[in-house]
Amino acid sequence: MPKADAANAEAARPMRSLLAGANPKLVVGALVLALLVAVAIAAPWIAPYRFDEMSILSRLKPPSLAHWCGTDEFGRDVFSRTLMGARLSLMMGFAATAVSLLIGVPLGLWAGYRRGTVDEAIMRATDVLLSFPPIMLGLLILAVTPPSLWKMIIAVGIVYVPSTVRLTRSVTLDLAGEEFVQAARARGERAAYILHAEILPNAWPPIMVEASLRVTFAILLGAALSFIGLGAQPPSSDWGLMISEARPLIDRAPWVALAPGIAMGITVIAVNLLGDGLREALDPRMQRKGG
Amino acid sequence: MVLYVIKRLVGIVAILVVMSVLVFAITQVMPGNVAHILAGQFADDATIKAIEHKLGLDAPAYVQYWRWASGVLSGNLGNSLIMERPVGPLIWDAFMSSALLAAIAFVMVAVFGIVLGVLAAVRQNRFTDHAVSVFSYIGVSVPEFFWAIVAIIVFARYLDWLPSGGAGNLSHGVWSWASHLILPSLTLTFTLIAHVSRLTRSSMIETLRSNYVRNARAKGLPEGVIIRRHALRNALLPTITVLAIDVGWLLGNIVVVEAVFSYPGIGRLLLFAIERHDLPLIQAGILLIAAVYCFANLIADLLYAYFNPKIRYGHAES
Amino acid sequence: MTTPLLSVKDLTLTYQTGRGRLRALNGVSFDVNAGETLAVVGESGSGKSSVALAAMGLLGPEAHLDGSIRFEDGELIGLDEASRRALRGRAIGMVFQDPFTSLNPSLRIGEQVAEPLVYHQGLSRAEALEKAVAALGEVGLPGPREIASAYPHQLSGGMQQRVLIASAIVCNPRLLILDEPTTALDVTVEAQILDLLDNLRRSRGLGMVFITHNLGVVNRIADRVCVLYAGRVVEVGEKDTVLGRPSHPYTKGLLASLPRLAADGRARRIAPIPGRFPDLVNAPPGCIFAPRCPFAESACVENEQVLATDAAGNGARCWKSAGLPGWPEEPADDRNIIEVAASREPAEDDAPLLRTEDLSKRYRRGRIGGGIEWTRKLGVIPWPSTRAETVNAVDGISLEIRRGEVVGLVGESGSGKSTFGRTILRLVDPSSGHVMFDSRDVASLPDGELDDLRKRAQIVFQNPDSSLNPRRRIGKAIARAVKLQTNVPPERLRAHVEDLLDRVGLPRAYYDRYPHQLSGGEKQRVGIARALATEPEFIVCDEPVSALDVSVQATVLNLLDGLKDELNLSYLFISHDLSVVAYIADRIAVMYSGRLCEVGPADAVLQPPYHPYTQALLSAVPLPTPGAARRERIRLRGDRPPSGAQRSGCVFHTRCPRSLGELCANTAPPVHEPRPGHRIACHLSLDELARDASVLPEAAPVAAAE
Repeated sequence: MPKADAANAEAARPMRSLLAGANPKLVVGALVLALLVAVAIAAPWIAPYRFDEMSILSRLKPPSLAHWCGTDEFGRDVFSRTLMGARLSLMMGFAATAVSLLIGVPLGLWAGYRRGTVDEAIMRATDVLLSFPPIMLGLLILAVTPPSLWKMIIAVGIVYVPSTVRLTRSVTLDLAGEEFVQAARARGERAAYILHAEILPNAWPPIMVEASLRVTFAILLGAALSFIGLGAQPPSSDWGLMISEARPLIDRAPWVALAPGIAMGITVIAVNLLGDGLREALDPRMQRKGG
Repeated sequence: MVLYVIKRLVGIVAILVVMSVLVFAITQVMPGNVAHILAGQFADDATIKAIEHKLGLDAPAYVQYWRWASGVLSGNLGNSLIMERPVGPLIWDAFMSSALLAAIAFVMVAVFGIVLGVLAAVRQNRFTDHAVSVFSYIGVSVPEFFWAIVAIIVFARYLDWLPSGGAGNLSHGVWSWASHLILPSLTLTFTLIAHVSRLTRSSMIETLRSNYVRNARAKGLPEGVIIRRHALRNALLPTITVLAIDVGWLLGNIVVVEAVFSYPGIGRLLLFAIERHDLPLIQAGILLIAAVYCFANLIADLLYAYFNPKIRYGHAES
Repeated sequence: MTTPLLSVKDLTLTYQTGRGRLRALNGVSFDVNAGETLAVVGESGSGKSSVALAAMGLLGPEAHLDGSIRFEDGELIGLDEASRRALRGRAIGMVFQDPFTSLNPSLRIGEQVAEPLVYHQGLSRAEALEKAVAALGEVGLPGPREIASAYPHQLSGGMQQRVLIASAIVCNPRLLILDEPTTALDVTVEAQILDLLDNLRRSRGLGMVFITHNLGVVNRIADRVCVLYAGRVVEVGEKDTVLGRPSHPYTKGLLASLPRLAADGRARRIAPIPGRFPDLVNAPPGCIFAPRCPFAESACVENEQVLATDAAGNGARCWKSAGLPGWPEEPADDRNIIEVAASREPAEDDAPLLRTEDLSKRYRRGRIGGGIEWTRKLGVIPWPSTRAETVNAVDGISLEIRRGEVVGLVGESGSGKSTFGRTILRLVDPSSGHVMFDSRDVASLPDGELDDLRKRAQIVFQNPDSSLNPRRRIGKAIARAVKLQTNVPPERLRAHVEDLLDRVGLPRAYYDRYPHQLSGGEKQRVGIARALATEPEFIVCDEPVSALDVSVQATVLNLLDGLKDELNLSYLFISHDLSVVAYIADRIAVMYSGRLCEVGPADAVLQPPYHPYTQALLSAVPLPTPGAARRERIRLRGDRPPSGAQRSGCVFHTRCPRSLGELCANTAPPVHEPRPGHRIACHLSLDELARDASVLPEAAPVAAAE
């Protein structure tokens, strides 16, 4: 009989985690994002026009069957440009976040586990970087070199390094006090092993939740930099740049600004939903205990 | 016992010094220089050399930095290289304009953010909650410059209620002055409000689940009293920290918003300076913004401690 | 018979879960009369807290209640919120388990105690505050007026619990519901709170529902007992009947699995309840305890059991209860045949395996940015400044542990016992002093040269949830330790780990499980297997059974005891629970505020002469033995150890009932040695100390055997 009970309880567990995984925000966010990624990848093939194809004859045409979102002042198809912009925007968001994780996570782990002077030095450095409002830091870094997509990605990535370090460090500090980490020390494990095998796997969930939200910051920051002219350069189809170019035409052709703006809204909302869904699914307090 | 505030102030000064070196280093490696810009496209080498010499740009980097730093210590922020005017008054006027805009936006963010967050938490999973959530999602998901453009289209072009940009002057009447502030500050507020309201909501929900709120319920207190007296005070503590972070966001967003609305603030001035490599202006602008941000954090930490009796009255020995 | 104050009839509580309906309570019935204390006893998952929340109407909206709860002729189930609110705090008071989180951190104590008066009796704030101060005085808080203007974090746990009690009784309720009110407190403080509750019940004629898992506490406070298991009442009755002559197998099992203190210092073997807690969604048919019951037969599984009570209100939900024998000892397999007497005499001539000399660990609290304290300059201007202080967690401890010996280290929370355990393993670096492990000083070795210590000394932790990496399979976690510290060839690794699982009594199939698939007791066994993996000689057991339910605790204790003999291990066994330490230890060290007050063979420490602190601890331990509730009790003043400047003399002087004043406060106490190996640090002379009678009862006959 006890065996049967145990078996029941076991059988119930995967079911419960499946249910916890079925967070509606998570599902909707993931689906929309997957769709966006697919569109971004397929953009060159599914776009009705080339993104930089100009046509003097069809300048500033309102939305029609031929041009779903109208055309801009050079007669380029806004819909095609918006599709291509998805590539840049998503690339911007994810690559910049990856840069911040790549630099920030190891530093945070090290600071949180080693403590002492290493910790102090890293924390003071993040203090300095955090004293710049994000866009200022991005501005300064971009001002050094002529803008290009990769430089912008690295600049935006660096902007979010300090907050990644902070979060990773605090998670590491908590985990380092956990008894299974103490047990690893007691059996003589080296610091490198403890960090990558014991601490990191448990630190990922909160880091990933933060990172997913940071993707949206990165997309918005990248767009803002392009908008003020320090990011992507014409004739690129970056959404921020497109909106900036559409500004003088607001009166005559509001659709030129609208399409990239809405696309951006959808992208950011999808990532936000995904992040919130992740947070709720991973937060143990959100899950009801049964039994 | 060394005073906490003095320590923090020393820390802020240290951060500003490090930052000024950093900014200086970055401007040193910036491609192109101010002499080229001043001399124009067709200037010969001799002219550029002369301009460089006149501005002191031919001296070694550390000498240039020292000149600038000793100037700052004696209260002289130097001259703008491009506008050939003292940086001090230039930046001060811009800063005051921006501060006005930022202050209005900050107060609105704080007030509406907290109110919406508390409402959403108290009506958790009901209509109000979902409405607040959708509202804040939309605000945070579209960049401030897009909302700025939408606001201009709607309120300035079609409705023609408000000016689309620039700054008003009090001499033309209060309305003229105030009307120029409405759209930029609304744009700033809308994009930041989500941050505060979402955090307030989750902090409030957590507080409503706490043991002391359960204990207050067991004492038979009315729900309104439980929310006001027991939950709100504790739930708003983390909001203080978030508001400090929002000052940073605000300072960032203001650059973009000023650009869209052609508002003569420090953000636009700084953008102008960075595009033209005007070092003294960049230095002064960045340091001023960083100083504001650092002070905001210091004030938040002090307020947090002040409103948190645990810190205010010291820990019990456990 | 008068109408009972609270009458619960057939109370059933169900939750809808993803797997079906979960029955948290199933047909629970009991009565509480005015002036009477009913103890509701159960292990975790028994539903005992749900009973309290149901009576208060504080269960969430997802809870579905059936049956009836009547309070003074009024039905509580289905009552509207406004009428409920009028009862809560006014007619029914409630005290929750965790005093540290149950008070609002940002309101002054006085306001929190006074506010029910404002809302229930319409008093003005000033009047209410006056009454609140009186209530604070009534619950025994010194200087109630000052306390009323303090904030919760400025009080200790015991004081916070008194405040919660004051706020529950301030409106003169007729019924008080207490949910594990002393579980979070130290045993000496628990004793004070139990005294207080007993006095309140007497002076105010309160009816009390006292929810607890601790049978010793039940014995101390209850008139009647209601035993819950898996949401059902399995036994009710008079306290002495239930504890002295239990009828239901579960009650018998619970009592048999408790280690008990007795005057001769010898502990009888404890017998655990086998098996696992049932699943409440797909509950087993018939008697819910049948799967774990040694007396079960097919009829038990086929028929639902009924609770039959006699005229005195005693009864059990078991059709066989009338003629049952005592709870059987653990089945004697090879591992469990232990010569208890032999293991208690370790060889004297050996050099000790581990010896600490004057070991200390100091922490500094509060650094730049660590904490801000606001003071008022000139009385008005708020002025911030930083705080820093030194904490002496371990303050000059010299202790030795011989091969094959179990040394029990007893102390209350904050005494530094865990820090000591971690310092000798170099998980924490000592501030000063020596740790001689096998005659080699490991206190000052650099981290890279600790290989020998890491292999030969291991640790078992308290918290089963945090001691295993949640993202790692059980087998892999143990295998890693084997691979790191032994020469087991890789192809033998899995078999070796499965042998280890075998050894700690877990199925071999657990190799591929994750920690969340295991129960608390099973996780603790994995923790033990992992410690054994490096083939150590010495293990620090840091409260290894404190987080476990009583019935599970017994299995883990017996396992540790058996392994020690089998593998010739030495333990430093750290615990706050004297009964547990007395059960397993050869020698006992008593620690208070970073220092040792008394060390000696287990039987010597448990008998006079006592250190005054040991004496107080022993007399405060609630024992489930009938009659033990009436033994003489020694109560300590206050509940805080001394800090900073007060530490020059004996650290216990601030609470010692026998303090000699100046001498104790300023001079370190001399060490008496009443017999070889038994040392007491106290200013009182040995004669004075020896004059005391034992505070423990004589070893009782095995109660459950009747």
